[in-house]
Amino acid sequence: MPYLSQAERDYITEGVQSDLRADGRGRLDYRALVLETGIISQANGSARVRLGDGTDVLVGVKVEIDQVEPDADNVGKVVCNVECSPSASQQFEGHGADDLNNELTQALQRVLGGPQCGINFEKLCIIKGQQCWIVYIDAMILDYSGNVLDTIFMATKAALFNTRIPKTQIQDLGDGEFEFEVLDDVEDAERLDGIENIPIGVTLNKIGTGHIIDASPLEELCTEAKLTIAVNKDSQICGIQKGAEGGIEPGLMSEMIQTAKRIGQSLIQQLDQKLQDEEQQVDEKRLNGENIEKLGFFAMV
Amino acid sequence: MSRLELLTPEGLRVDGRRPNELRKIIAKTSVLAQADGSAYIEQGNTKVLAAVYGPQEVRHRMQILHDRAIINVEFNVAPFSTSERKKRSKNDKYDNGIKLQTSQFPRSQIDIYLQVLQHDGGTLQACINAATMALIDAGIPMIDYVCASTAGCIDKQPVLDLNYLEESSDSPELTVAILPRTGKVNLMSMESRLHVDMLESVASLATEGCEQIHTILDAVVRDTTQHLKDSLMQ
Amino acid sequence: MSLRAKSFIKRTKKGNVIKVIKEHYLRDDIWCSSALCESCNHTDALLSATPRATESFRTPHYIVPDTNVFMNQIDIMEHPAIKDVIVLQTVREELRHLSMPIYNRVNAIVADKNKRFYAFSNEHHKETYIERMKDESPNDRNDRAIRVSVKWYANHLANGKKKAPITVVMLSDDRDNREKAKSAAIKCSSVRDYVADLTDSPELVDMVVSAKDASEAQAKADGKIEYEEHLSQVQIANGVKNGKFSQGTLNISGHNYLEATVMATVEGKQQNVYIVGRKNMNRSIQGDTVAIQVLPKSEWKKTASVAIEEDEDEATEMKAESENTDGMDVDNALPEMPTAKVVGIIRKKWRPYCGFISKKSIHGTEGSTSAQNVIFRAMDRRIPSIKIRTTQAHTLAGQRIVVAIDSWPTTSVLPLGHFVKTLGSSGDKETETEVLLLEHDVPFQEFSKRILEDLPAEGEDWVVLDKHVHNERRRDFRHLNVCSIDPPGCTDIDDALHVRALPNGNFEVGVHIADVTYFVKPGMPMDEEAAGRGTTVYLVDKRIDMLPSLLGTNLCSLRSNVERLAFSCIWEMNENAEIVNVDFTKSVIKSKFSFTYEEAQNRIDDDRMQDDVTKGIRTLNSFAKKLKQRRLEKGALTLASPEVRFNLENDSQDPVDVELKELKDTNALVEEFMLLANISVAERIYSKFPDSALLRRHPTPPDSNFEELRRALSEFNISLETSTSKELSDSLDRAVIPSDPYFNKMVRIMTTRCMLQAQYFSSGTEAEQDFRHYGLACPIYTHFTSPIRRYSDVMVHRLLEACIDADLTYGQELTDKMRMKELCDNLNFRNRMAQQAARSSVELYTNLFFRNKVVEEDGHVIRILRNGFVVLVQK
Repeated sequence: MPYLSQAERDYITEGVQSDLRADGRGRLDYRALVLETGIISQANGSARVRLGDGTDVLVGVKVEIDQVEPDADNVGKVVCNVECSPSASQQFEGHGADDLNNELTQALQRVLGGPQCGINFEKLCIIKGQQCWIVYIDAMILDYSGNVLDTIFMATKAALFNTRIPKTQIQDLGDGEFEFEVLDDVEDAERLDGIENIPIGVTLNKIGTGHIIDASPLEELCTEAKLTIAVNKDSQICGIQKGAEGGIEPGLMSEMIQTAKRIGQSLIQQLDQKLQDEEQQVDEKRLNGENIEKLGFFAMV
Repeated sequence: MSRLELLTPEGLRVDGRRPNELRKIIAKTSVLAQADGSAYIEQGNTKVLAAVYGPQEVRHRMQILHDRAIINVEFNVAPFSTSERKKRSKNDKYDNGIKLQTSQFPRSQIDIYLQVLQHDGGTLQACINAATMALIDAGIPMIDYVCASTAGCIDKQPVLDLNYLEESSDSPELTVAILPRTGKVNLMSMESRLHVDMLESVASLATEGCEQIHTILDAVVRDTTQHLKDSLMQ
Repeated sequence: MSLRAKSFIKRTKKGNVIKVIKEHYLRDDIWCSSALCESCNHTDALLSATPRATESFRTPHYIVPDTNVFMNQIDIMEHPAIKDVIVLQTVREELRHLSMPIYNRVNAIVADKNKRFYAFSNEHHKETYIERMKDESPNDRNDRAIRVSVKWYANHLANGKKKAPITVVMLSDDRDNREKAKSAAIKCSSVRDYVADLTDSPELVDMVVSAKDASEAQAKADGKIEYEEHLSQVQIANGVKNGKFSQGTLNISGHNYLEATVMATVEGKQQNVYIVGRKNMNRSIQGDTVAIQVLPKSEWKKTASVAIEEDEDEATEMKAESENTDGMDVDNALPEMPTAKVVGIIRKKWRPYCGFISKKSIHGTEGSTSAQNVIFRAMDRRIPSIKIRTTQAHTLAGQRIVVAIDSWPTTSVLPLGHFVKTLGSSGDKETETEVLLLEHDVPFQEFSKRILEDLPAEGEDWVVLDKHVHNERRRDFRHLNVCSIDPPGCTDIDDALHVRALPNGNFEVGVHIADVTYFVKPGMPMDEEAAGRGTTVYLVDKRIDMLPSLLGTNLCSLRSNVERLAFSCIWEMNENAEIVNVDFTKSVIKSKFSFTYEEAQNRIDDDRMQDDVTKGIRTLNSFAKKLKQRRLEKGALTLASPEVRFNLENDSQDPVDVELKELKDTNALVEEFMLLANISVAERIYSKFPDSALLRRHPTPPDSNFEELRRALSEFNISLETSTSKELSDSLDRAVIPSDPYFNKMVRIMTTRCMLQAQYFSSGTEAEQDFRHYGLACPIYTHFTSPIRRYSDVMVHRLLEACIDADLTYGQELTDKMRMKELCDNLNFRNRMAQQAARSSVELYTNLFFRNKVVEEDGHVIRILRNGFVVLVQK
């Protein structure tokens, strides 16, 4: 476990108070962000987000066909899973990451597993009472430098934006029986319905009397309490998760929520812009029959 | 279901390569911030990330070797790496025969973490090559590169660097790792039947592949360390 | 090289959906293969420097057909007049998905260097690869890829250093594609227009398959529908799954083309289901895999055994149609049989058919060459008449021709087809033999040069050398008294025998089989050809060899007084002919005598002969009798089939006499030891290759097969027990009528017809209890003793060699059970075809023999039809 001395702790706390953090950022400044989608070609959607010089998250989305649940026979499912690779930190070796994996998986699943995430779950049902799509979201933490959960949310939103579900055609066999066929053309595959509503998470760390966003590892160690708020593009709150030992005063709490809403909105706007730019470039090339060369992993490091 | 044509009458493979050609290789070092050394390699659609920590103190005192370092390898496959999603799996079945000057670091430990991000055949060779690059990136002295390559046999024709389609169509696959300077074979592994008459030609093709890979990896290393050399010259 | 990615979505067997990504490399080292091109680095250019020029395309040119041209006009592409063709990879890949048979035929043309078809990898060529554009369908993209390649070829050839006056022409029957090509200044033509210019081969025009024309749509609009639409594949699959439909192979009665049976599971029972009448058959053809729906019980038919010949002209054709089958009243005593109709065709079994043009359907005056519709009638009576359009109707009258079916729309009573080729005039022996070979799909072309190159370079001078004796772990049996016993005139001697007394009082018996696998190694063209042929086919007047005759009748043939390589099975037996020990070895032998059955029999019978060889034959004969006795006790069947022998006139090969083959003791002698060797070998290879041993089984016939015979025999108060072969064998022995000595033989002949076919199979694909050979009453069996004329035996030799020689290296051909299964399927098919061809050949000669001849003989009526009967004549 990294260990923080009292002097370091004071330095960071005072930095937050005076709105000047150790790396020169203000309290509500985000680190630079590199984003790329579609790099795991075998997945139905994928994205990688690298935050600052350290946190690296890769999300792969795969869809599978399964039988519907008997008590909800007209909807599909979203299943999340987060894994920390030991390449991010030696602490994650062997079973060292199990607790953290669980915690992050839960945090992601709570927001994306239900209708609050904005995805139209009914559209994931292929034949009512029979089959539906299950969307598996697998996030891998490849490198670690603080603020993992927010990065996972962003990478997930980008990966879902990139995801295409194979198109199915339903055939009526008569006698009330239906069968479906999956079209083999990738071009026919369709985007998830309601993708624009997917929220991202904003984590606020309370250090001393102030709070910051996008905490570095050392700042995380100084954190008394943290609050992760899931916000969508319409500033609706889709989930709140309080973490760490300390408490938050009611006044500060509502201030933090307001901050999260504001920050969240601007982050979503930037993210959407980036995704749309990227897609537009690809589309233009496609229109001219040009090759779409992806930069590939780590090309932009 | 029609049987796949693995070798066309014109002698091209399913992806358009000729039998003695490698897939496209992209290699990069220093891709991670936390690890002491890291590397990323793509051999075709097979993508592997390697991180190296150490040399450092041995974590479990029981394992200390008094004359050299111990090497610990952990191998991890991402759930989305295969065409059908896999449940989380971790193992360390690959002892990849890395040749280090371990005697320089007695009583210490070197950890190598391998992360397969996408699987399209030849995972073992990609892991070995990635580990080599990460160790170089970590600045750990090595006797030589360890370069690995696979070769197999389709319709009695030896072919280099099988992709997943070729691997899964019942073709035998031999993985060979060598030290290119001396040509010594470090690893040879095969888990299928191969006609003994073919073994030599398949093995020598794989060795040839290793040498080609060495050239590529060496160029990457020299390129990324150029600025160090430049700063020394000034 | 540069890299592209290709991806598609696939559903796995488990029903899951995966996205498959393939790398796709683009190259700059794919050459054009034109003999005139100097900028490419190819050696052995395939495409000629002087290709054909035509009236419409006066520049010499290569042809680039699109996918549909191969799909629809493959017969034209196979015509010798079509040469110098570029087969694009795009086209080949599309064909592979559309139709494996067509794909294989195209591959066969490409492999034939004389045809000069060059497979150009345009999809991997840097300059001809194209990326699919947004909103472009895969089909449009492929059409564009074809045009881009044609354009590339045109430019490439025009820019060659020699400025060669040579170009390319695209063939396409898709008007839209041709329009697009024209606007890109690509030369193109429809197939019909193109072949119209090839005046040296006028028959090509007849071979053009017309695209689905407007008349069909018109007929539909007029409500002229003859048949119900077929259901979609998905509906069929679902219907079969939920039991609404059954599936099976359509088998049309040889006596009545309007009556068919399908072996299918109905009411939980595997049974024959009747399909009666054209409407119910709904455009399915002999051999098609069909989906059927059982009709309500009120519409079930009794077995209506009526012999019907198809009427000659189209008018009556229509009448027969409207009459349907109501006219067939049936014997009310017969039980009702499940009757069904065809709702869809799961797999079509269309093939080219041999036959002739119905004379009545030809119109116009002699010599007229205007196109007209005529009716083609296939030799195979189970195939419906086919409507074709031809300009050569009068020339083709009286000829045997080949025709292929193009389509069978719901609006047409008869299927529509096109002319493929002429074989010769009907009634001509050569032509008729070719017809029967074609009809049974027997490969009968001469062995190609490539195959003959696999023969030993020494040719006829090849001899056994010291190295064969010393270096190959062969045992030297040259000193033994080995001899062979075969029918007279036999030149391909597979097997030879020897016996000698051992010091311990036992006997050593050896069966020596020609060592064919010494010459035929896996993977060589000769081996592939033999595997394809599967068996030697024996016709009355000729033999279609599986292996080149240098091997079959010389180097492998175990002729007397010549040293030959052999694969030997050596038993140690006690005087009761019980096996004490068995051993297999490769060997060298020198046969002392090649006897005919008769000669060997004479030796046995002639007491004056007391030489070692004769004594040996006597010992073998007595052993054989003991073996046979034991076999019969275990329930082996002695069945009979009438084998006919023709005495042919030497020059003309016309039949001058016909007789049934006679069997001697010595036939049984050889047979007994061959059976024993086969069983011993089967046990051995199964122990080493539990999954991939090539074995032969003979399934127990279902009780229902005997019903008809049982009913017939009940008239004579004879009962037939069929539950085991032993019981059947015993009841056959009891089926005797003292007044009629031929009766028992006849019952045996009829019993043979109740049997199922024996089959080759790979041991990994069946449960062990199903390995049984019913007829021979043994638990395991294979074929080892005739490698010259059966490919199964070649395979078994290889398996056995792998068993006895630990150092032998072998590939997957011996260990992969699915590959072995595919091989077995082919061998079973070839075998069945070879038998039928042999039978047809006998029929042909019987007809020739009885032509314009009246012969009086006694006969037995064995089956009565509604309007005919079947007679077995004994002679």
